[in-house]
Amino acid sequence: MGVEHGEGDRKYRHPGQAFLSRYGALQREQDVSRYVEFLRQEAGLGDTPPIDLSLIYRHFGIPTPRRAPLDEQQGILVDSRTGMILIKEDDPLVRQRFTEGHELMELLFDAQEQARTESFLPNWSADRKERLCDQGAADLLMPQTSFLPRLNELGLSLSTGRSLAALYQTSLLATLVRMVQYGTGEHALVLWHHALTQRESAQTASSSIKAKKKLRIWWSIRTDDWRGGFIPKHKSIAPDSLIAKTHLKGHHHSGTETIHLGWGEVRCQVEAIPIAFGDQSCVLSLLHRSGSD
Amino acid sequence: MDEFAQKVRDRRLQEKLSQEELANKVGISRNYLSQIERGQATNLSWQLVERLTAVLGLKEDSGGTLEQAADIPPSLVQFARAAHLPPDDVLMLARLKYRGQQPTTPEKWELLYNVIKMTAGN
Repeated sequence: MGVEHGEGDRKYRHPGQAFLSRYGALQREQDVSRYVEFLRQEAGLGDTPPIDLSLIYRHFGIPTPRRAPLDEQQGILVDSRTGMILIKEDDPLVRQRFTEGHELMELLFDAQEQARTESFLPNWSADRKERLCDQGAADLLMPQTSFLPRLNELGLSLSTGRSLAALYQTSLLATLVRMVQYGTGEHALVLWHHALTQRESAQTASSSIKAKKKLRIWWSIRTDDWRGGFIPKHKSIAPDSLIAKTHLKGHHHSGTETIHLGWGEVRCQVEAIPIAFGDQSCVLSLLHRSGSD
Repeated sequence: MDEFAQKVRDRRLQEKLSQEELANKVGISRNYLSQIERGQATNLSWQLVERLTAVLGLKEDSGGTLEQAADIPPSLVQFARAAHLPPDDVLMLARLKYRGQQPTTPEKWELLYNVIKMTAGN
């Protein structure tokens, strides 16, 4: 299979193997973040956005990832022996960049898998590995050293998310996740989708009575400072809320309201925008607890 | 004992290799090789299966052995059999690392295979 090499046409060096041969096999999750630093240092990457991944490709002789008409995959590491990577061609460019970062992380786990012939080395589950690859991609594309000062200066908001996403050439969603991971104050990022509960799904499957889908929490993350309590997955939102209106009208809404979370309620400043995932229309909401910064 | 375990043991004895010698050749401990030969080590990595089959010369007559020894999705096995894929291509597909979903049907494997061939072959 033909491969297209980056500028300079350096001989390919597997970055995961290069890392493990220098530092030894991964023993714990913290070692994964050292790999990101390793890539950055080896390639002479600074932390000024946008991060130029081509420097990494050039340094390790990795062929420039090819765009391909993939369907259910955002990216594929085809062959770790040549570094061939395919990226879904009709994904937005910012998503393609994140996928590239993800695949660079896959090379680390590929090397680890080759080294892991003995059972004492950790063998992360596929889900956990995917999350570690996503976390690594975020670390690579949004280095903490430049990202955090900008976030602190601008404050955690949707508007800041848009600015930083444009600056770092990352998706708004990935940028907001990063902001909430690093942010101070009481903020939560909540993704809502139109869905049934598990019980309703089971009932619908076994009877002719069809339950009606509601706008429900798909997932959420909170800042470390959040004191608003647990945000339960699958909890639905009232039809008259700003979040439901955002879904219905398909445009941004913001304002202060009380959100009922089943166990209790939380008073928040809400910023909500419609967002699409494949053919699903969802709502992304940023909740700022009243009284927090 | 499973078929792969038996083949590894039989071929090692044919080749007059001690467990220690074979383990050294493939880069694992003698203890781990012993577990493999007794069928006690399951879900072996592709890389290890490949090294063992290469060192022992099992590649040519492995037939369905790789499919049984390592973790090939049944839908890929179906596609590979129907399309008479060369073993190297089956290995390539089985080794892919994704961001997104692994194909779940033989038809989806075929689509992906064609995309890879088309894109990577250019």
